[in-house]
Amino acid sequence: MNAVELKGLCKKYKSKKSGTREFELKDVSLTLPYGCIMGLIGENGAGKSTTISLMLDIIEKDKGEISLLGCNTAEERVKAKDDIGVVLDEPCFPVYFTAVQINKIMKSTYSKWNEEQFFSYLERFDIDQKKIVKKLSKGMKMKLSIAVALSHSAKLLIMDEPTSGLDPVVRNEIVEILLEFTREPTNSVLISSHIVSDLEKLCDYVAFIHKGRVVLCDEKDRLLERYATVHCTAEEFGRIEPSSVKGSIETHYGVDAVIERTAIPDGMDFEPVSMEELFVLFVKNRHLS
Amino acid sequence: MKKALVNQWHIVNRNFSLLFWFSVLHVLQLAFGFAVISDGFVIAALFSCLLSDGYAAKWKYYSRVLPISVFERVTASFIFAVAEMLIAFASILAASAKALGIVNALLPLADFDVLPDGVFTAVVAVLYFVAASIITSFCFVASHLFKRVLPILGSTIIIMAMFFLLIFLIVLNFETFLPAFLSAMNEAPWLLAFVAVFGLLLLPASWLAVLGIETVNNSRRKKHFFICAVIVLLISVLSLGAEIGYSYSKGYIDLPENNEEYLDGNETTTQPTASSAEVEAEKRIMNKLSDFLADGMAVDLTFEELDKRMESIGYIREGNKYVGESSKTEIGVTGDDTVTEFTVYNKSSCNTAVMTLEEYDSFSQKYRLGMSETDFLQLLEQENIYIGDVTEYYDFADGYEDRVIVRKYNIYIHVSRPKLVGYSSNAGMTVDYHTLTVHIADGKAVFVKMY
Repeated sequence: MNAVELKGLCKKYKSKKSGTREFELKDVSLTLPYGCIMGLIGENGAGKSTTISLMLDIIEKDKGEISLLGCNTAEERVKAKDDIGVVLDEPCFPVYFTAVQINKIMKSTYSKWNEEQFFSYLERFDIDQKKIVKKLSKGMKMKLSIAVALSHSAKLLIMDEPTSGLDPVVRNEIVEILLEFTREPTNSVLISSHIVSDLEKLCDYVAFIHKGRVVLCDEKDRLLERYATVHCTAEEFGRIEPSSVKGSIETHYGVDAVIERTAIPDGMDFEPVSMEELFVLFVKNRHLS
Repeated sequence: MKKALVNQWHIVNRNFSLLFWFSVLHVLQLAFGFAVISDGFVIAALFSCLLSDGYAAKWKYYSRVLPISVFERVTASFIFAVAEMLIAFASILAASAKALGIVNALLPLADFDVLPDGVFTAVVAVLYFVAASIITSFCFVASHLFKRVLPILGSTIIIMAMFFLLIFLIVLNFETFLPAFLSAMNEAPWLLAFVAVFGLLLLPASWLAVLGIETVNNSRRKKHFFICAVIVLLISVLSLGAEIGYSYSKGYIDLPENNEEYLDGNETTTQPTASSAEVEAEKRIMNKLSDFLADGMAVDLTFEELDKRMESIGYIREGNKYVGESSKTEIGVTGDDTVTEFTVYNKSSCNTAVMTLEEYDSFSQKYRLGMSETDFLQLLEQENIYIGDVTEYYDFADGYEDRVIVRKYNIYIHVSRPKLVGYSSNAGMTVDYHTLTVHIADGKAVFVKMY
């Protein structure tokens, strides 16, 4: 059973002025099993937020199938949203509301809203309950969003760039909270970010989105086992089977490449790949002419 | 649906609270006759601006991730939008009622001959209301459709329209209006204080409250609203001035120099000043007595009959006087078998009123209660009573100024002039209050009170 299943999801945005195609999400397919954390990695404008918006029915899809917690239609997903905690990249609560007022709203919104849990999170996150949202720092606002998302017994957390713009201490705290959340075997998290180091600490699965396409989607450990980084000369790089190269950058000092370990020529030095290298080389993949 | 409604309620609750307090404020303004012609319209326009922002676009976006269906969300939004619109509309109605009063007050200045005043006033008021409603509704709808630009444009149009309408009405009879306005303001400093306190403080305070709303938080809007506030304030002051001017031109405001023409060259004595409570008590007694006396007192009234009558108005005889409600007023009575003399002595005003029953009887036949001042004065002339030298000037503490008319037979007639004692700017009208008290001196007198 999967918490999230996306099959062939497509969405086109057209430019308002020219009517030409501005952005296209092409054939996005993902599967997130229960109890796992999946990271959506991609550069800005790659299509991460669009994918999440489609999943949550904030925007309408052109094509494809979405299944959240086993609910396949938009009507079913409205009910499923009771079990889905959402954290968007920017907290969207009315800015003149306090955490106490937000509690009132959410109490009437989520059937399983746990007031005590919410206030215990507020205490834990050191959020002033009487302070209006406007006066909270960005980190505090994000923590407030997370507190809301975690206080209604959600089974699935969908988070869009929750750590962007936050300092490392707060980011680390959020990572810890999410790890704690997934200790429960039925809880799952789908998190998008371009801060790969955070996802590396957190994720079981990783999906790379580049220019509206999922270019890689696998278990994180398997990816790290499967690929390696090589730093070699252009001549040495020429000896590598091209189909095994997932990304490379040619510099004046040689070539940095991510390749499948099985295709590394004998005697060539290689290093374990980090998620960040994998991401950067996948995205850049350029050569000097 | 309940969930969605509750959810929406919390969000719009702030707007409702604000609407409520503005409604209270507006009712107070109307109740106290503040000449705020256009605040209701502007407030309505403001709300439409606020509603255009809804409860923040971000929240709308976020609400889609909540377990509320599209139908529920849209329906709940619609219900609350309609409710807010109704309140805004009520505000328009209130403002229109106010406008009607203002137009009613101003039109006579214009001296139109085309239609009878009443009809013309009604037509203009209705047109005024309809036009304002259309503009405000347009503004409201536009705010929902086009979010930002048109509400600002709309509210500006409303304000400008109100302003020019007022100017138009004023200019129609500028020569009458301006001197009257200036004179009234000059001669009635309390009006200036009134304008200063309520116009200069209350209105901007309410505007500041508006500026504090979350959706009005960008500087361009603040600037816009500030400009609106200044314009509204100007309109308020002008419209108040118009009302004062009108009142003055109609003689409802009595300026001191007008009294001087009665007092000039005459000896003036000031009577001891009674407190307003005493004055009220005296008024009540006079009322009762005049009713009592006007009720056809027979010449050969026995003490027994008089006792009964006096008891019916709360007076008990103790020896040769009647003691009643006010310790300040004593009523003396003399006679053997029948009452021959009836004396009213008021300690606070040091007035003694004595008359024989025959005198009262003949007098009261002619000067019935409820007569107009003009008719009454005509009757006095017929009876060779002339308006002559003033020998007494009486000034009650409550501000009533009475001029004294003297009869050649030493009959003192106290006539309090029509005064602006009640002022209802809702209807743009003043309330006349006539008090006519007739003293007959030479040891014998009668009190008659006329409204």
